[in-house]
Amino acid sequence: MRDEEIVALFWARDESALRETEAAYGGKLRRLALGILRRKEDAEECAADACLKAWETIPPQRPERLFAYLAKICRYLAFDRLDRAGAQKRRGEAVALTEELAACVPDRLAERTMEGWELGQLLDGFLAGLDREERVMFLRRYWYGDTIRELAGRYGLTAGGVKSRLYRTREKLRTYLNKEDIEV
Amino acid sequence: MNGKELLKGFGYVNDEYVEEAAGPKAVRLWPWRGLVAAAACLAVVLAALTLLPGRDSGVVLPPDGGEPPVSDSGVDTPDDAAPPQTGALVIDMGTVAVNELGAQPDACRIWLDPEKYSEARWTKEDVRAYYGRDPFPAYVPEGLSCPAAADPDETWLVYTNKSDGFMCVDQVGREYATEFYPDSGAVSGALGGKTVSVRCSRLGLVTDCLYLLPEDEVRLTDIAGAAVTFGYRQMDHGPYDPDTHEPAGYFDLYTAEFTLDGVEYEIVTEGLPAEEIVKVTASIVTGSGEVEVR
Repeated sequence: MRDEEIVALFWARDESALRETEAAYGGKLRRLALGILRRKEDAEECAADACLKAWETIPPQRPERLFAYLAKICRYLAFDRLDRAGAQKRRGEAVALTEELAACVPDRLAERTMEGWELGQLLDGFLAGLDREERVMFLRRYWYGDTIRELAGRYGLTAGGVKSRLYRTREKLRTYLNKEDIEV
Repeated sequence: MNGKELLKGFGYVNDEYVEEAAGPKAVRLWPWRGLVAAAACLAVVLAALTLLPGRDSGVVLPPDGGEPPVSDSGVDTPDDAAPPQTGALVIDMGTVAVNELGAQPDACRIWLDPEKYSEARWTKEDVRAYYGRDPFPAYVPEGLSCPAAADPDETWLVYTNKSDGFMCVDQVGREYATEFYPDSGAVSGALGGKTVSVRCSRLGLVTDCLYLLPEDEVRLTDIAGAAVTFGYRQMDHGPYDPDTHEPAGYFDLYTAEFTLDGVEYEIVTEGLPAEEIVKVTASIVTGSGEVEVR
């Protein structure tokens, strides 16, 4: 079923919208949540919660890209779940992602508090300047939480090759964020 | 702002980028080989093009090309009666497109009511007569074997419809592996085994590989004139960590699907590199075990 048809079911308050959403995107949402939470049970709950959240918000929302809409909710819920679990229970991969990105934050921004949407705009500008393959690999790592091994399999590269590419892109991000003309 | 906030900030990027990254990507194999392979094959390709107008995509037939020879041997020895090969088929791996698999194929057979369907056992000769050739690979990766193929009494179970006598299950196959259990099942890639399984059917295979790409975006590879769909999935295996569910390890699963002379083929390899499934595939298409990949 196409996205528009599923969204129409949400708007009609037809509960089959949830079934169709699960059929179309359930697996991808669970995979996304698993990449962040690293626990199958948590990932399943998180993906199910994302679908319910979509039920609560469509309408009034009418997303043009349903998967992106669901995935954003799912990712948000997954990180929220990690936060609530406390630092001791944070999973290794999420900690690794955080530490990798911490090195991208220039000193001049370290003390600034930024809203999520502000960061999103900033990152949109950065991502627009990358070529497609570099952008996709970067987002697979920092949006979808893919492990280095998964990325190596996806791209037919060695783990070292993936790490060095991600490092170069992070360096670009650090340089980008450090530019004087970036308004924050 | 810290790393955690920046990580969360990614959640607000444009939907377009999110969907772009969500899409599956065909595995790019040996990208560094591109230039080397192109240079190495250029002369061969140019020479072959002059002999074989109409062939393309970097797949080169032997200089004496023509009709593929038919092998009637069990495993990896070309038929003595087949036309002698004066050169190997050369395949540039840079021209091989591999699509990401969503799931591995399920090779379960359907159950047929014995009241309505008759069983029959096909011999090697029956199979050759029905398919018009030996449908099994003339090339098998080193270290793999198929004990059943060496058995002159090897048979396959097929079914016909009792009401009209028409064939309804004509699938035959073989499994080649580095190791087999006493009951003849192969030790799978999950347990460190290396396997090649081949199935074919003139009526149509009942299962298909599930590619993550939409059907019209799945990329084909020309192997000696056959349009082959290659698939790849990195498989994990247990034991799984009880807390993190991290697998104990991974192995490569490749698939190849194609139709040749009205017969559908499916090849699945476990624990083997991509070159091997390409060579096995090419050996079925050409009927010759003389295949090189670069």
